Amino acid sequence: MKRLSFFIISGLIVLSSCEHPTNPDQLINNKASLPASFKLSDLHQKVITSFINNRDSTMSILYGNKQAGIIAGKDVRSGVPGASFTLVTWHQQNDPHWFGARIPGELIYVETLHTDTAEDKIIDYQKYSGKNLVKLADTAGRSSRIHFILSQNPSIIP
Amino acid sequence: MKKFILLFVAVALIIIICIQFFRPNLKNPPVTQDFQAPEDVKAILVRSCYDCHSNQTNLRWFDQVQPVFWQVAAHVRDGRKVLNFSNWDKLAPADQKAKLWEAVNQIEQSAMPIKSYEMVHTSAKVSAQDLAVLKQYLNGMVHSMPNDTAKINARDQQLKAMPEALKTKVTESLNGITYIPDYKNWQVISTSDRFDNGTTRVIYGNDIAVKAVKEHHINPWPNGTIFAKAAWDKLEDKDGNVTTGAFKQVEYMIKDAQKYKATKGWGFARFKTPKLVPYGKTAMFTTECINCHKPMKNNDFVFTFPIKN
Ligand code: HEC
Ligand code: HEC
Repeated sequence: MKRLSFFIISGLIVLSSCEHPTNPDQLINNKASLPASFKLSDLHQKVITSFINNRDSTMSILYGNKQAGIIAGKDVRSGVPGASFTLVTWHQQNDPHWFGARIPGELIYVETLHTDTAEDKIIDYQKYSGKNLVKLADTAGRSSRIHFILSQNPSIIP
Repeated sequence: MKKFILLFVAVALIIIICIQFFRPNLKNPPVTQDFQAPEDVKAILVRSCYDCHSNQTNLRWFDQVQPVFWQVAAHVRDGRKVLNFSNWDKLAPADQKAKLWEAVNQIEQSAMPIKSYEMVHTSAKVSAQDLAVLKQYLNGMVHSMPNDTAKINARDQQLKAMPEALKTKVTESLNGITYIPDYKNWQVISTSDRFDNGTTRVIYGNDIAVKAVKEHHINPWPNGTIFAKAAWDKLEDKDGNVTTGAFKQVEYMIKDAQKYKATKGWGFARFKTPKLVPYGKTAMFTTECINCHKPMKNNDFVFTFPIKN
């Protein structure tokens, strides 16, 4: 009996001190991930800035192509044709790895904005919603969102 | 046969007795300034951490039996070097705060107190309730500061100096890693809102990192993976909108299991301000990086939960 409990206890000690690498699937932030079909990474846009909204507990990253980088923050709608912006917004969640940090949780929406290639003022604004980024037909608040995106100042990124 | 066993036991005994006389020289140097906190908070840290992280080390008799004593003494020496609550005045206020957040995180991730110590000193265990007390104390130190003029000025100064700063020649950190300007063209794998120190971060990954994320081959991360983490002050307005302020630093982790074997397979480097000043007084600055990343050892020392784009 004594011997048995000795084996059980030492077995438990060995088990508990044995470290296993975490399964990679558990390390991917799935709820914050964009569907592969959206192909954001293929656009090769650069980070223009990132921001947080404390009231809504959301965090966002604004990306853009080269032309977008030029007009970012200036709130102008023409002058640099072919600018393309992508704004990704998430709910925040506590970082399970660091008490003191909040990281992206559920993906809420992605907005895209393209200025026309002609010298025109026409702007194409689209909004995609939820985990699967379903394109919204109704883009209420369109003009205020366009204004919002175009007026975000670029971060200092040396 | 029996004789041999007897002889063996006798020799072993003599050796054990002899080594008792070779004792590490462990003293309690003077306390310059003891860490101050509300009583309940302080009591937890004194009970669980002070044996190794203060000059008020209180070893029990069983800690002082050789060969255990050597290990205990090494723990105390190394522990004091990285965090010493008895020399609290040696740390700038921001560093004191940072150490406390790091301390609570080390507890939460079960990295501290050291397991072998905790097994013997069962009273050093930090209970869930104790941890909640510590966290509440830290949360009480977080204050949002809308329209912080000092931070706004810091950003404006940087913006003004920008073209000059951008002319900086290639800078190299003390462990031989150079600043990699290309990170700006990489994909984002996450972002982080650090309310512990009032900064926000964007974490970039190079192509190898992004491919590894898509294929879920991230534990371990493949050789050639590079992360860049850029950090800015948080600038908050009165409506709770937070934008990026002054650029604080960019940090890299470069995976090469062979080349960076001594630092867990990762090359660490940090460049501060838009002038990209290499961080660290000696090449040993990497110990600091590793010590804080160590609780992530089951995740290849990486904190970030990468996002697929
Ligand atoms: C038995 C000795 C021992 C005890 C008890 C102990 N530590 Fe440590 N601690 C160490 C040693 C040794 C290191 C150096 C790095 C390592 O070996 O992991 C360390 C490192 C650390 C670090 C990293 C510091 C840095 O910046 O590099 C933190 C934070 C920390 N300990 C917090 C704590 C807290 C909080 C407690 C109490 C809950 C505690 N430790 C209890 C020995 C100890
Ligand atoms: C006090 C703890 C601490 C120290 C010290 C520290 N880090 Fe980190 N590091 C973190 C945390 C937490 C994260 C997760 C992202 C975030 O919230 O900032 C992180 C993330 C990173 C990342 C992104 C990859 C990842 O692991 O998530 C890099 C690169 C990095 N750190 C580099 C460094 C370098 C270089 C040093 C040393 C000069 C260093 N770190 C020191 C806590 C630390």
